[in-house]
Amino acid sequence: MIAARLAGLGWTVGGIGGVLAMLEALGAMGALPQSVPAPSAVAVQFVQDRAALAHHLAPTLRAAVIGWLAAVALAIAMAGVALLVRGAEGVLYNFAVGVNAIPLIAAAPILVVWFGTGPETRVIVAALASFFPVLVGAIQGLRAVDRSHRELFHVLAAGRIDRLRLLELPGALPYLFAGLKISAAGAVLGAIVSEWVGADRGLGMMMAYALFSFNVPQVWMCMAVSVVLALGAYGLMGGLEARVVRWSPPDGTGPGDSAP
Amino acid sequence: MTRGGTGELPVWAGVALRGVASIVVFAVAFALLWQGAVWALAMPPYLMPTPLDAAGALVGQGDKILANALFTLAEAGVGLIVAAALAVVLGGLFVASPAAHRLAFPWAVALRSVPVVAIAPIVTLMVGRGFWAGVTVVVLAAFFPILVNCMRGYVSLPRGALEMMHVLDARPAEVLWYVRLPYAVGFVFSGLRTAAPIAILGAMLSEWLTGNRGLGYLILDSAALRELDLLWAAIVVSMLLGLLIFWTTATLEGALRRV
Amino acid sequence: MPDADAPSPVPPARQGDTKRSEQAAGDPSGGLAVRGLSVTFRLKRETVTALDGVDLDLPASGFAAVIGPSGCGKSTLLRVVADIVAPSAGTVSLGGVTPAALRRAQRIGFVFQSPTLLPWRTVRENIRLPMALNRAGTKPSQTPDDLIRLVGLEGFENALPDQLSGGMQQRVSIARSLALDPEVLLLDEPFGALDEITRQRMNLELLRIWSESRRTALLVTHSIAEAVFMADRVFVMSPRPGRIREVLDIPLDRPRRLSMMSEPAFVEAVNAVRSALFGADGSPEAGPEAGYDG
Repeated sequence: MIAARLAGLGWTVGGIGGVLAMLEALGAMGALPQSVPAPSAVAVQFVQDRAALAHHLAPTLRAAVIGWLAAVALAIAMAGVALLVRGAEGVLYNFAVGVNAIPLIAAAPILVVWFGTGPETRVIVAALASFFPVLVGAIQGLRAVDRSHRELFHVLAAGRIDRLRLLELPGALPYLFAGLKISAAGAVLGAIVSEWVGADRGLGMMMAYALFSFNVPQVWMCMAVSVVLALGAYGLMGGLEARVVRWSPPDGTGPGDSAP
Repeated sequence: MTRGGTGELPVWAGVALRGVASIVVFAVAFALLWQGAVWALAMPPYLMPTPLDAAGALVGQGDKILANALFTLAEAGVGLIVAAALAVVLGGLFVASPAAHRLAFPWAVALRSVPVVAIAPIVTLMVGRGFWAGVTVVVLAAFFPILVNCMRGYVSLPRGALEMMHVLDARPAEVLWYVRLPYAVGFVFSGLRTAAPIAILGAMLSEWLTGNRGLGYLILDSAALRELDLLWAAIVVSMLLGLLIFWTTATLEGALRRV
Repeated sequence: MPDADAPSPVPPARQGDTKRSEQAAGDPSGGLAVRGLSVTFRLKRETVTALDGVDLDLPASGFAAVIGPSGCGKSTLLRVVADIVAPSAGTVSLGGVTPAALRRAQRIGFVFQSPTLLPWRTVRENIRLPMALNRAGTKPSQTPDDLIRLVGLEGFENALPDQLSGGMQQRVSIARSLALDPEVLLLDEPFGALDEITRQRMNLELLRIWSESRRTALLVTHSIAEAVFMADRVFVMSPRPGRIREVLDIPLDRPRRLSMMSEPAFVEAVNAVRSALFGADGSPEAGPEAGYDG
């Protein structure tokens, strides 16, 4: 098991390293297109820009974290209310799946009209981008309790609180975490993308500025930082999940993993 | 979404009907909420137009909105189809050996969940600022959700089905045609359904950067020019587009699954 | 709603060594008594009669089996006794109290078709679950570790369910059902998903566990040999609507041993159950196929 995992990790690291080395070699031969810099140029850019990067990164990260926390709190609270009101969870679930299909982030320009290019816009867009995956995951999880487990708790004359504490909440965790992973990455994206519309500071703004001034290595550097951030946020939740969910969760716990 | 159809209709028709109905319900509810918000918050017109004002823009500048919406829809549609084709082929390669599957699957799952849309600036650098930049972003963003589902579909096959084909001495192409593809179809379409909203969003976000056509561009531009009636009309159209493409894929999924 | 005074489902007497049970009219001391039980479900527009005028008696500490083809309502019968399904007509008494009262007192042990373990709890934690839910203040006579020993799972106390085989999972489920010293043990095809050999072994273990505590036990099964081997009394059911067609007492000694399966008394009892199911001429009027077993 562990050996296979290590081998997989080795292949992955080796594969990424190989691609980078190939790009570097192509760059040295001058065979790369103008829009693709050599990896070393991106690294040099990273070192050069580190002060500016820190300056731009701070508000983006702050907005992503605040927006994400607000969205998670609200989504879990809504799922909790849906659990208390008989029949509400089905309605809320269909609503959440429907709204999830709407490109809400694209409405960010409205927020710019209302709040300007300040932190409010960023926070709200980050929250919008992370809210629905959590809501969908939480409701899916609460609905996932199977009939025989319900009957077991019925035969054992379990009270409402015990059923929630011992059955419904633990059973919902794998689904909730699937939503949390996606939303953590989504919050980072939301914050960055909202800065494309306009911002005084931020990683997204730095990226857009680099693009418009055709600073190719800087675009790639911002890109790499965003991807690392998004994957890191995803991985953070994944790590937490591995600590909390120690049993093998049912297959297809991600939103949109509805197997036929 | 797997409950039985309405009366005698097949299930997919029920899905389609409910899709249309829910889009109508959504539009009406949204307009009412909107009007209510304008009244309740006493929103001045330079912050928020009324639904009627937006409807006026929708009619008055209908040509402009329609042309840009079709542009975005085309980017999303072409991107989705290319992404699905790539996912079906590459997914088939990735499940060819257990080792390849073990290597590729966790990455596919992680990248499906990470907003690939954020690489739009690089795409703009490399592909330029036209239609194909949007399509490329859509392909990249929609590829991973479909890939994950494809790979699930290919490996979810019951072993008995393959063994039966072996006993019948079927050729690999026959195995593919009679067993593997039919099993994978439902998975591919449920991946498409997941990817559809991402596709619309990806197309619009890339238009923010490449910006000279498309609904995303129109939204950004009308916001910059403070043409709020047009802005709101375009946003409503973008929402309807998202619902439309979602329900279209859901309906296709229902029809092809022959539930 | 079906007529509770429907004609008696018990057909005329049959010959053979296997004796017809006397259906006591009253409540046998502390056992299970079912009177005129009917259950109807509404499915969309039609009404399905799952059980129709069922009478059943089982003395305290007795072991009975309910057998019948799919769709005969045997699972529904068990679920009514466990207060999972509400009867449309008729009464059920368990030692003089209703199923609802007994359930609220947490004195019903139920073993489901699937192990129904909580995947995030270890073997010991799963067995302890009823104790964690114990509001009735019952003082359990056995600790979780006693129960683990009883079902032979020493060494697996801290394993998670998905690390166990199907048979071991069902052992956990049986131990859990005994955690609060239940008055009655209800078993819904508990070994139906296991292979024949494992199943045989689990049945022997179940009898050993039962003989140590002698609780009233009701086993739902679709295996004739299993019903005869396990039970003192076999209720044979027929489907659509679910009725008890015949009640047979099994004249085999306890403890039961596998070697008994070749004794004439066993073979005769099996034949009696078979002809109760299929009719004396073996015509498949109540074929085992078809239908959802509600």
